[in-house]
Amino acid sequence: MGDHDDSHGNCDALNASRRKFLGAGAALGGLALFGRSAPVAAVQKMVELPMTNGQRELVTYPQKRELIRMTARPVQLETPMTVFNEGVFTPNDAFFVRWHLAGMPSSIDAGTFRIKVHGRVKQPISLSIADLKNSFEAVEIAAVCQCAGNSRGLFNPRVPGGQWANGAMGNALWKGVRLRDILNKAGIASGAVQVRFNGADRPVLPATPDFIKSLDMDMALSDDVMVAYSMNGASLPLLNGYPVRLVVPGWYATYWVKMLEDIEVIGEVDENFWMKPAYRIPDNPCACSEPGKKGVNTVPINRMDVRSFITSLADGARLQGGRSQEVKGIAFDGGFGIARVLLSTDGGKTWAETKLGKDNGNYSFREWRSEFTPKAGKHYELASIAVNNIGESQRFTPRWNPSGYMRNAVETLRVTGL
Amino acid sequence: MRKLSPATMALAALFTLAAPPMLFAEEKSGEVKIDLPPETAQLKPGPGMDTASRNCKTCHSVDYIYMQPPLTREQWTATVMKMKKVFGAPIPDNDVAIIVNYLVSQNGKE
Repeated sequence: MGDHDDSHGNCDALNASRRKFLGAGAALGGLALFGRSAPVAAVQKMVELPMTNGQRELVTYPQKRELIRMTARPVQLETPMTVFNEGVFTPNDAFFVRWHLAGMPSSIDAGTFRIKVHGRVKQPISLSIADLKNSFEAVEIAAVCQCAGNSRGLFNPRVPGGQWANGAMGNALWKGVRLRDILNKAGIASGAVQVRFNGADRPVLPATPDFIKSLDMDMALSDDVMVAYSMNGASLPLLNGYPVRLVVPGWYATYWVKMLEDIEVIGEVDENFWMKPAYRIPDNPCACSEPGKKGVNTVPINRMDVRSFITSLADGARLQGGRSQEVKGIAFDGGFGIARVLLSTDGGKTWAETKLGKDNGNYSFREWRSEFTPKAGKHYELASIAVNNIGESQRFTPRWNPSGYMRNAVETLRVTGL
Repeated sequence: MRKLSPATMALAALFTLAAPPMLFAEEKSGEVKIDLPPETAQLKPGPGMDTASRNCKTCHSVDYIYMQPPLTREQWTATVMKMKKVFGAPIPDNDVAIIVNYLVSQNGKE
């Protein structure tokens, strides 16, 4: 990871053609033909995300296909944009990974795993995975899980933190049990203010705040929040929270606590580090601030804003002129559902309606399609903009805040007709 | 970046096909165990590298440093102090400036 050209800003799709082999492991590659030593380091495949210091390894983790590794410990893996063109549901083996603490268990026995429900409840309970499957009504919901800091690496000016491009998101069909049903089984006692969630991951040092998140009672008791034991019809990959994770449709992934083992009803507003000051946004309608501005009031990050991406083309693509070209993508929001997606081929001067694909519910990716015919020798700036069912649309001017949260600007990619 | 000869590339590609990474996920009766692939990022030589290595690598891999955009001395200082005060890293007071200097030399800006 060293110096390289600054390729700020303009591209938003990972260009597969940029994949290249680097020299680091080449010699080992030859040796390993004779022995089985150090096979993993044999060939280092790299990609370059569109940001300064955007070089990343492509690495295959257990239960995963080759993904973009942002960090090794704690592990954070980004989904290549090409995956989102495969279908509206993100395959489990391609789903992004984000852990906060290196003390993540690398083995889990679902047979002995228990979820404790305690605190301000009438009767504390302890549930096995079998209890969840056998003693509660099963519910299914298609929902996008997106990191609060997805696209942080595209902020300008840049901000410290996980330097994601656009691939810290995914859409899955989640199956599990309503959180409300679990809470009602224990019985909510008087004075309940929030519900606090803790997973099986632990910090390396006892002094480091454990990763714990909380929801207000009204959110915790809402229809769609669930404890999920199934993802796209299969068990969750361990790296995505096996055997169960919280699913908070419409809200950022920070609340979707993985390996969920502790549910506590509490009598005050949680102010542990991960609720305050972490994962907070400026308390104004745009969640915006300015570099260097101090004393901004903040609130916990919550509902996702509306976004869309072109998935069928990469930035810099060269297309045959005079031939109709399909342009396809995805759109989503925080649960109101997508009403329209428009496409521009001239950098946003003019827009045309696209055709929306199957409706899998208001929390899901929604596919959209259009087409255009590039002319030979001409350059095009392609951009999509989504509008949700309450009239919110993407921003033309990117918002800025010091934590790099909630990017939802209209993304532009450049293609050329040949 | 070094250029590779076509022969080396072919050898490397052949190896990739022939020997899948020795990582596994074991699943039987609800028990899942995975092996994490090794860390590859390493601190680059420079004054203070040993101090940074001793303090930073306890809790995280060093790709956390190199993926950041180039940060100012003020930003790197804030980051080291966050590790010490918020995350409880036992960084001796005398090491703070050494680590900040190293980080600025590695991935800093004015």
